[in-house]
Amino acid sequence: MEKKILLQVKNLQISWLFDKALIPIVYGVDFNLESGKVLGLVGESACGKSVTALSLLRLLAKELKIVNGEILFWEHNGGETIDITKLESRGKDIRKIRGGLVSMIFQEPMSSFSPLYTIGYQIMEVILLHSEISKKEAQERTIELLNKVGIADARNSFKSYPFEFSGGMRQRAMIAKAISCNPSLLIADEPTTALDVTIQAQILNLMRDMQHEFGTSIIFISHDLGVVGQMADEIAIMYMGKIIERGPTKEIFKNPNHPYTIKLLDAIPRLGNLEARRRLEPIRGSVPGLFNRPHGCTFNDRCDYFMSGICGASFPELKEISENHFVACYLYG
Amino acid sequence: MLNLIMRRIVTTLVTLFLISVVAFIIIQLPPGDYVDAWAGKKTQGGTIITQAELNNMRVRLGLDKPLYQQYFKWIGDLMKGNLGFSFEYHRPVAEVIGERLSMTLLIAFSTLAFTYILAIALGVYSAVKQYSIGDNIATVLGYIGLATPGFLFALILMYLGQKWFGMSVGGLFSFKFQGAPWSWAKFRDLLGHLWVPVVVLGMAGTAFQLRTMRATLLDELNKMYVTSARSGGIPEFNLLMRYPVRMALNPIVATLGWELSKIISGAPIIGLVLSLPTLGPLYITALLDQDIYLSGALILIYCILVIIGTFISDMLLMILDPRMRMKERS
Repeated sequence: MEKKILLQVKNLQISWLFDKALIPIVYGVDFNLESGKVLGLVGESACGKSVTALSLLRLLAKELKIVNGEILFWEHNGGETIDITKLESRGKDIRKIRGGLVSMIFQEPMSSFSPLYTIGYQIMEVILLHSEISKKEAQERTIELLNKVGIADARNSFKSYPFEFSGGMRQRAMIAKAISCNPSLLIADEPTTALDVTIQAQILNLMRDMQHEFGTSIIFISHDLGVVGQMADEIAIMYMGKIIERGPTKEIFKNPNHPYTIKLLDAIPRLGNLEARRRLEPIRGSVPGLFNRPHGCTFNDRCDYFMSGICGASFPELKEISENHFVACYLYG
Repeated sequence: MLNLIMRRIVTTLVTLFLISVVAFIIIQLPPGDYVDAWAGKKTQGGTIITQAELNNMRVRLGLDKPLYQQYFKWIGDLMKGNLGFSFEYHRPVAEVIGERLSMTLLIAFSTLAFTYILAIALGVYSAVKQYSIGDNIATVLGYIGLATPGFLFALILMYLGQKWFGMSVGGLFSFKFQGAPWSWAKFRDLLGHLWVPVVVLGMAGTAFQLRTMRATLLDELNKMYVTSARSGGIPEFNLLMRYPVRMALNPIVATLGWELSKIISGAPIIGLVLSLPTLGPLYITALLDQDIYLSGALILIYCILVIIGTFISDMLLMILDPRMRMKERS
C-alpha cells in the first residue's frame, strides 16, 4: 500500500492571550500522519498535547490563538488540501470537517454528553448534519453503531439519557458518535484516563477494532506511555509545547534517545523483567511554569547531560538519527 | 405526570386551608374591628353614633360571635363558592373582585412574560459577548434596575410622561375608554398604558434574572459537552440554544414561582401609585378598613397565584430537564 499523507502539521505555534501578552503554549510542533496509521502523542499534563489536539479542529477557547504554522489536511477521494489554520473557527468550512472528516473523543466521558438529550439524539444529530438521510434511517444507523461499540440492548439505549450510562458505556457511545460519519481522522484526547483499568482495556480494544474495520487514522493522546505503546504505530513525545522525540513505537521503546524519553520510560513499572529489577526512577525536578520557560532546550534544568554553553543557548532542532526517528537534543549531532 | 398533578392538587388544598387560617388570624390582629373603623370615620365627619347602634351593627354583620365561629362561617361559605360580603362596598366580594381580577392577572402575567423574555435574551447576549459594550450597558442597567425601588421608578415615569409627552401614564385606560365596551381602539389604548406598570413591576426581576442567566451561561459555555457537541459540526446558533442555553435556563425557570410572588407582592404599592384598576389598591384599603371577608378573599387569591406560579415552574423544569422527570418517577 502506498503511503498517503493525511495530516501534516508544520511549525504549529499556539499562544495564550493573557493580560494582552501572548504566552506560548505550543512552541512549534511538526508531525505527519499517514492514512490508516495511529500516532501517539505523549507528554505530561500541561505540555500542550490537548491544546494541539483541539487546534486541529479549531476548538480552542477564545484566549488561545494559533499564532503561526500550518495544519494541512488532505481530503482524499478527489478532495483538496485544506489548511485548517486558515479557516474561520466558527465558519461553515470547519463545520464540514468537524464530525464529518475529523472527529474527536474527549477525556471525560461523564461530561462530554449533555444530560438534557438522549444518547441517541446526540449521535443522530451529527449523522443528520453530515449526510442526506431521513430521520428514520439516521435512527437505524445510530442503533447499528451503538450495537457495534458493544452497548447492550442498543434499541432501548438509544432512548437513554447519559446519566443512565456508566462511564465506560458513555465512552463507548462517544466512540459511536465519533465514527458515525466514517471520518478519516479520529482524535482521541486521553480517552481512557477517566476510566478504571478493566474498562480502559475494553475501550482500547474497541478503538483498535474500529480502526481495523474502518481504516481510520487516529491521533491518540495520553500521558501514559504504556497505553500509547499498545495503540500507536508512531509516537511523538512532547515536553513544554515542543515535540522532543518522534519515531516508530518499537524504536522509541527499544532505543529511546532524548534524555526525557529515557527518563519517562524508566518511570514505567515493568513486569517480568527480573534481572533489571530496580526502583522506579522519578524525573528530577518538575515542569517549569509557563512564565519561566528555560532558555534554550526547555528540559535543560532537569537533564543529567546538561552541557553548559550549549543547552542553554537555543532550542535544538529535530534531527533524523535513524529512519523516521527524530530527536531534538544536542547529544546527537 | 397525572399522578404528580393529583398530588400537587392535594398539597395545594392543604396549603390553602392553612393559609386561610393564618390569614384570618392576621386580619383580626389589629385592634378593633370593621365597626370600630367605620365608627371612627363617621365620628370624624361629625356624626354621633350610640353604643347601641354599634352593637346592632356588630350583630347584623356577625362580628359579635367568637372568632372561630366567624372563621367557620367564612370557610363554609367559601366551600359553597360564596366569597362573602364586603362591608365597605355593600356588595358581594366576588362582584367587587371580579372587575379587577382580570386586569390584575393581565398585569401579573404580562410582567412575567416581559421579565423572562427580556432577561433571557439579554442574558444570552451578555454572556456570549462578554465584556462587549452591549454587555457593559446591560450590566449597568441591570444594577440600576436592581437598586431602584419600584414605586420611585413609577413616580419618575409618571413625572416624565407628564412633562415630556403631556400624557398621564397612570391607570390602564384613557378617560374616554373607561367603562366603554371592548373594542379594537380600547384594546390599543390598554396596550399604550399597560407597558408602564409592566416595566415598573418587572424591572427588578428582569435585572436579577438577567444576571443569573449571564452567570450560569458563562459557566456552561466552557463545559466539555459544549466543545464535544461543537466537535460534531453543529452550527453555532443551534449549538448555543440546544446545549448551553437550555442548560442555563434551569435556575431561571426554577425561580419562576418566586418571581411571580414578588410581582404580586410588589403590585399593591405600584397599583396605588399608578392608580391601577387592579386588586392591589383594593387590598390595601380592605386591610385598613378591616373589611375582613374582602381582605381574606384577596389574600387567598394572591396565594393561589403564587401556588400556580410554583406549579408552572415545576412543570417547566420537568419538561426542560430529564433528570427531574426521572427523580419524579422513582
